[in-house]
Amino acid sequence: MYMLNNMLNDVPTPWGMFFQDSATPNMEGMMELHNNVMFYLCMMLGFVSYMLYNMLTTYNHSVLPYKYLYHGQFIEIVWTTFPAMILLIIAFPSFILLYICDEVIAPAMTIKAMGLQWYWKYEYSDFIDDKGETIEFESYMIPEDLLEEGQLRQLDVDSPIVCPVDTHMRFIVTAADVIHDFAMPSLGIKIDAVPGRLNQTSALIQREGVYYGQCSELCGVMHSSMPIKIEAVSLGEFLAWIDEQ
Amino acid sequence: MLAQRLLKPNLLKTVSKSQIRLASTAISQASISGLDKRWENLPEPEKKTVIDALSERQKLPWDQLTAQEKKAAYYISFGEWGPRRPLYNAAEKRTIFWGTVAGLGICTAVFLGIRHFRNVPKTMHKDWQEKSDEYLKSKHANPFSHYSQVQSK
Repeated sequence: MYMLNNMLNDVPTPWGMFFQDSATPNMEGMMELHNNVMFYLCMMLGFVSYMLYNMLTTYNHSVLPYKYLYHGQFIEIVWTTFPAMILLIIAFPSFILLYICDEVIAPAMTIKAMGLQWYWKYEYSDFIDDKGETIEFESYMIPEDLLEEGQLRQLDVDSPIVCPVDTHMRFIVTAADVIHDFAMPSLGIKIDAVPGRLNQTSALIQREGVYYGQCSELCGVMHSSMPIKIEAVSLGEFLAWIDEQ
Repeated sequence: MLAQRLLKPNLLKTVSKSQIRLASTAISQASISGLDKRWENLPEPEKKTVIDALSERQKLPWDQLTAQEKKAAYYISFGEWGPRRPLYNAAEKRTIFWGTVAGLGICTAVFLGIRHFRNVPKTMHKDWQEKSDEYLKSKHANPFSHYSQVQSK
């Protein structure tokens, strides 16, 4: 039960062993695919273990393994086609999900995330400030000595990304120096930030909350110190926040 | 029958009378008893004598060999001497065992020492972690299950 309590966490928790709670349809799909594949894996493990056990224990006391498992054209056809079918059953949903996640359909707004050694820089390309420049800010991890009580060590940042919920968001991800990786488990996003290249992905955040992610491509000594924090708020709150910028 | 008749004189020619006599008499107890204790210190000619005598005896049916002879023959062929001598004797094995134990003990002590003097982040306290929970709750974190950050006592 303790293990189960640690599963399905929204934010990373101590000794978390499973996915964080999903907040986007993409992540829902990934968890469902995982569960389906795990079902087939357990079934196969059980079946193969049973056959092996049967062959070991009833070596020649039973006609069944003797006649059908050691040699036989029928069984050979079965054990060739059955794994192939299982692979297809796993592969097709996997490809469908892969292409669905890859698609960026008519996003309502765009956020550009740029990885630098060792912080993130975000740009709200659809909005401009008083000076007519796009809104952009840098996001640094809060060092341990500056943490206020309750803040999460190595995860909280000084200025998080603020996103509206139920809005199709496009993330354009790039880097300025070395390869970083923009990863946000709850949103089902993990995309490389490559210098000189714009990668894009999308997310439809479906509930308000706070989400944590980390750079997921080894980028230097402070790789562990460039977390990503997203606050998902209602559209009204988001517009109020944008006004303040 | 013909083969036997042909073979017999030949056999008699090849096995000398002295050899037959040697093989038919049991080797003296004194020369082979406790062989495993003194074998390696035995001078080479004596070793050869014992080996020759035993190999002659072994040409007989083996149930005619005395228990001492069987033991001696086994020791010479398969006993723990020469290349078959064990790498370490009992005293050396004890040294290795206690040396390993001491090594593991030192490693454990170093590990516990480093762990004792490590820098514990200020977030590793229950009060702090409960505050984290309050914050996460205020942000609607984890609506489906658990969000507790509490891991310290």
